[in-house]
This record gives sequence, structure tokens and C-alpha cells, in this order.
Amino acid sequence: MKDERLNKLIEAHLEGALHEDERTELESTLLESESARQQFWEQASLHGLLHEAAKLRWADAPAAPSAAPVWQLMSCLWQQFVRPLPLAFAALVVGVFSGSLVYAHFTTTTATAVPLTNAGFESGPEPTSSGIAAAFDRWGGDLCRVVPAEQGITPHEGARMLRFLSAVSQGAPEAKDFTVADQWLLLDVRELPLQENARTIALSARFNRTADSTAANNRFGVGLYAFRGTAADGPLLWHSVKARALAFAETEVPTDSDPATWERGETRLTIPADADLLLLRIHAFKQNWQDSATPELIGHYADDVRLEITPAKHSLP
Amino acid sequence: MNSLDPHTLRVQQHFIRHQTALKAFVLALAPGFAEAEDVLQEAFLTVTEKAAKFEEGTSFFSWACAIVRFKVMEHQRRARKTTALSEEVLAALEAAAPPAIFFEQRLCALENCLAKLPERAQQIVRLRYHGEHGAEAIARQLAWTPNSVSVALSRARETLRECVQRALQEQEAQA
Repeated sequence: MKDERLNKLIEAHLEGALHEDERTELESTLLESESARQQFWEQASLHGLLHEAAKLRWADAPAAPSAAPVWQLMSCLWQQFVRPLPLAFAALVVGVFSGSLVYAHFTTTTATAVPLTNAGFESGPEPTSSGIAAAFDRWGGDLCRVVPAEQGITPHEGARMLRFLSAVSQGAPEAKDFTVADQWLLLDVRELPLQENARTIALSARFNRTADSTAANNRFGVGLYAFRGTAADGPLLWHSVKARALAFAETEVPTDSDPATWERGETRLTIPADADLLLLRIHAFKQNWQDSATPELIGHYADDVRLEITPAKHSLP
Repeated sequence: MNSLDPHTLRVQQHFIRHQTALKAFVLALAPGFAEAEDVLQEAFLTVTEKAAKFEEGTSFFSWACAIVRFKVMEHQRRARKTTALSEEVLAALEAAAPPAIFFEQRLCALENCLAKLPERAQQIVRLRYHGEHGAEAIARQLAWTPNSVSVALSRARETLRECVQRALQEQEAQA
């Protein structure tokens, strides 16, 4: 039978609301009683699982805007062997390296910059508007244009920048109450200077928008997605991305309405050893877009895309 | 460069297959979502480093839980959290932790149970677990008191636990 007092203490623990005397009481109970430990796991396991279940249930809805990086590793193996549900994916949320450790010591040294095609949109071929290119090192995605300074916005670096125009790539925009315009760049993992202990990639980009962008919720994002396959698979990668990707990481950043400032979005991903392809994504998001007679994106810009390999060196004591 | 040996690669795959259960394990011991992210990342790297010490045929989940528990302890030492459970208690809880299948079965049932929650309770759960808002932020958003939010969350979790229990019992009866 469930102990109601213990129930309340565990609930307070899960909400980070334990007072000192309550913590002492909970600890004492857990140490003394096997049934208390069983009750703990019955209650507390739900807290962790709810985080996962909520992501699955509301997978199509944007989460609260956050500048915090969200790393996700997911595995087709998980679907195949453990959970035969169509939406099932195992998400390992991982974060930034921080601090010194007892088991492993991480020493961050200088990151290795990976040269990207047209990272500042200064030269080279214009990004296509026909989805992900079936070739490496070629920007492609939704309708966009490379522009000089305009609408009171000056490029973050150089003389040109990318302007997102519409979520249209291969047909009409989808009828949703939000719009997401993407640009993607496909890379060959074998060409990246990865090492056994330096497989973490950091993607960053700068974003800006005009002050009169009408939607209440404008934000931008960066994403990294690792796949098996070849460049020819490029155009199909975004379909069923959650089932196809070996791992992915995404970050969305809210933006201010000050054209003078560029917000920075960054995300990191540890590349699985068996990945062949790395897909880079930058996107603009606008909520409350419903009227197809008005422009989807009025003034949404990206610039200065950077990719770095973070040499996280770790050794055992 | 794909230079991991086959055993290490298999150990990484074990980790990925069990990551939902491992994450639930972390969040039970240390309920903060952001902290869990860091803990899992560091645990993944340590599991990779120590892969040679894992013996196939033994329980990967138990082996990984021990590593994860040490990571939780490291984070708590660094953060000096006053609300954190003591290391002695964390060790006792790890020893009593259920197997991975316990978490995996509950996740399957939980998805269906979430859909059955009343709309208001779903809203609270969504803000807490999908939006990752704390009780105070939810209270501001809904113009409630933080205490009301905590009570509503607690009730929603209780309802979900009962629903999950029923679902698991039904599955057992049908098996």
C-alpha cells in the first residue's frame, strides 16, 4: 500500500521543492525501507518517462523557445528491437561539456574549423529552392535569396546574407498555422577531420529579422543530422527524418526585433561512428501565419554559418 | 574516421537502445531536465571509454546505471544543491533500481495514458514536460499560484500512474 507521506516527499523531490527537514526525512525513509525504495521507483520513474512521452505526444508542436542547445541521439535499433511504435524514438538529451570530472577529464582545446561552401553567402552558387541537394557541399532548401544590406539590416559578415522568403520548395506551402523555411547543406562525414576522441561537431549561424516582422513568435534554428547513405539520398533525407537519422541535434533561438543585432544559434552533435552523411540545417520559423495572401516571411535573414570540430580530449584517471 | 572497435560500437549501441530508461533513471535521482542532459552526455563518453570492461551477457543497464549514478553525484557536488539526495541514498536507490524493461513498458503505456488525461491536466503536463517550465513559470502563464500548479501536477502524475498500472495489468492478463 502506498505511503501517502512518502508520496508527498517524493513529489516534492521531483519538483525540486524539498525543504531541508523533508529531505532528511525522505532520505531516512529510503535508506530504512525496501518498500519505500520500490515506491520511489514507481513514482519517480514516471517523471523521467513523462519527459520522453511528452516529446513523442507533442512531437509536431514547437517546444518553448529556448537558447539552450538540445542534443538528441536516436536510434533505429531502439524502434526495431525495443518499441514497435511508429512514433517511437529514443532521445538522449545531452548537453555541453562542463567542469572537471571524476571519471573522465575533459580538456577543451582550440576547435577545428571546417570550411563550408558559401558559409557567408558571399560567393558561389546561390542556394537552390528545390529541397536538399543530391550532392555534397551544395546549399538547397526552400525559397530564399542572397541579398546585400536591405530593410535596415546589414550582413553580419561580408557584404551579403541569406534571406528566407518562403517555406515553398517543391510545391505550395503547407496549410499550417506556422511556417518553417529551411536551407540544408549535405556533407560527407568521411571528409570531415574527425578523430576517435574528437567526433563532436558544433554548428552555429547568425540570425536577424526586421522590426516589422508581423508574427508574434519569430525564431530561427540550427540543426545537425547524421545518416547512413550516399549523396544521392539527399532529397529523401528530410522525409521521416526521425526514423532515418542515426543522431540529430537541434537548437532554436528566439530573436529580438532589433535589426542592429544578430542572434547566434548553436547546436552540437557527436557523430556516430557508422554515419556517412551529415546534414546541416538552418531555418526561420514564424507562427500565426495562416493567410496565404500575405508573405510568409517578411524579413528573416541568416549569415555566417560555421562548423567546428570540438576536440574534447578525455582520459581516465 | 570510423575507428571504434566492434565491441565498443556494440556497447554504444546498447547505450542508445537503453537511453530512454537511462534518462528516466537520471531524472528520478536528479529531477532537473538540463542536468540530465549533461549527465547523459558525460555518461555516454565514459561508457565508451570503459567499454572494454563491459562483459557481453551481463546486464548493460545495471552496468550503465552505476556509471550514470556517479555522474549524477559529480554534478551534484559541483552544483552544491541543497535539495539533492545524499550519495548514500543515491547508491541505495541504484541498487534497488528496476530493470530497463520496467521503464520501457511504462513508456509505451504512458503515451496512451497521456492522451486520456483531461484537457486541463494535459495542458499542465505539456507545459512541465514538453515546455520544460517549472511550477512558478507555469503559474505565471496560467495566472495560478505555484502551489496550485504543484498540486495539479501531482494529481496528473497520480492519474497517469494509475492508468499505466491498469494498462500493464491488462497486458499481463492477456499474455
